Amino acid sequence: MNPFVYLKNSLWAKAAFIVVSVVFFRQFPDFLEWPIILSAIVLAALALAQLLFRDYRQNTWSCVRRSFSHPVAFLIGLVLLCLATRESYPFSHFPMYGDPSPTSEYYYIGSVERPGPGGIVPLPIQTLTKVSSAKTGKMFRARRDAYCKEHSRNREDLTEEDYRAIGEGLLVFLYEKGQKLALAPLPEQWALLHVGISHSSDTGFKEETHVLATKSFSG
Amino acid sequence: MNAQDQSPELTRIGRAFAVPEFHPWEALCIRILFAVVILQTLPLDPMDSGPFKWGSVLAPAKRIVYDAQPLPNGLAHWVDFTFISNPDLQKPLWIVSLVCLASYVAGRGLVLSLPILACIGIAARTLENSQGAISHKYQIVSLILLVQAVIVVAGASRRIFAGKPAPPPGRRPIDRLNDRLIRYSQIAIVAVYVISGCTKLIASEGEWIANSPYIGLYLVKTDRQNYYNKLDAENFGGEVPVAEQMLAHRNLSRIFMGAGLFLELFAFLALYNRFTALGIGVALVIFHQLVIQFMALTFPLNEKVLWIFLINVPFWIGAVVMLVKAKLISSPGQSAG
Repeated sequence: MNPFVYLKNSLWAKAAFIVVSVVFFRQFPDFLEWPIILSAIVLAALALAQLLFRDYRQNTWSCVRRSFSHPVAFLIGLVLLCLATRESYPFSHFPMYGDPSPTSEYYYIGSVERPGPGGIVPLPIQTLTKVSSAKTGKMFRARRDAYCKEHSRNREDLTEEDYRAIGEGLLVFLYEKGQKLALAPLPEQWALLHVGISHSSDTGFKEETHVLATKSFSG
Repeated sequence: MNAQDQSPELTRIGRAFAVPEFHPWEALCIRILFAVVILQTLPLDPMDSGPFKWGSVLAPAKRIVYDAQPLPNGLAHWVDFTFISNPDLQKPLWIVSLVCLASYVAGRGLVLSLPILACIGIAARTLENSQGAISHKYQIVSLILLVQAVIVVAGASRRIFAGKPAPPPGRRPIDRLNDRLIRYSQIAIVAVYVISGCTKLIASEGEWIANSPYIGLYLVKTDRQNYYNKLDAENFGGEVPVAEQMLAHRNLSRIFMGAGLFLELFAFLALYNRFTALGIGVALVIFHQLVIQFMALTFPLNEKVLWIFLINVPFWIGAVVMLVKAKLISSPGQSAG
């Protein structure tokens, strides 16, 4: 039998080809990159048409064409579109908790009451600015990524000075939002703190805090 | 080799995932319920006086107040959406929104009302997401609205540019449109969960289940973030026993977290028939409730659309009533009485 006709007609052969292509592509990403990707896409489209329509073997191309307007094709297209566009409202690839790792981190805002490591008192940031602590962290990370892009730098190459500059920008944003809302009196000196969380079976959870930036708003 | 060579099982599965028929009353209930959800997501200040006083009950999503897009997201790269913050826009926005929602509930003029509602929602939330912190709270409603708008606009374009095809016999065009709107909304909902599952596999390079006990660290992180919101020491900021347990019993954690991942990946099975829609809808609502219990992360709009489009309570009430009626009619004792 003609191998191409066999591949067209056998669902298992198509599935096997796609699986082998994916494994091959992962092992040798630079070898025959586009021919393999295109073959896998064409076979996936044929497999979908074969799954959806009974007259696939007689009217193959008509079935492929019809399958593009089938709800399943729409679902696949929407999933691929969201994965490709990533965070681009209203599309999203939902990266939260996507890669659990042995370390985590969070950020919070404090008021500098006196010099020294113990002189920073946490601020109820949502009460003051309506921006939650989780959003504060997201904003800091988004600002850090924008800073890296703007200065053509890698995240790993950022210095304490860079982090201070990014943090100060965020503190100014939050302070101004708090001032605009005027929900409560605001302290004069703000600090952005980073907390790293780790876990070991001996000591349990460990949280290490360090100050990223401080900003005075007096005068 | 003839047409019968194709496995009938496979094509039966294909047909099951196609657009099913929904009863007009069922479609109306779904439209009314979803209209309420849309209203709750619109960037409108509740009106405390005048003829729209009842709006304060239905529209908790307030006007968005931002005068800049410091870190643009999505369409904000090209469009300045800060106009939506303008307080002078509130009254016209209220009127347009109410007219569009009435049109949506009536199922008339959808080709105008759905794109307008989608645009208002997407503009407001894009502006909100362009402040540096991306939120997924309203994403599912905007996505459903966008999908519904695309369906009606594509249908209208086909009619205009390809000539009006003769309507197939049996079912009214409005009912066929409703069938498509509901089916594609269900697709948008399950797609959200399938995407989330796929991202977990891609981002972790297939090791998500193996690494899932580390979600315990995120539970601690969420607890601390909740504490620092309002310095609420009564409920947050102390020990997080579930997180400890997750890391102490890693294989048990993997089973539970793996079940959640498989639920997300196979959420598309909800499209197979009404029973799978009910089962997966209920399972996803339970999944959200567990997330609320353990992480204090709420996705109320996701739960609402699951209730409306997948669980579909009006259909099951109708089905039970019809079943009881049929039993009563066929029961000889009842007919004798």
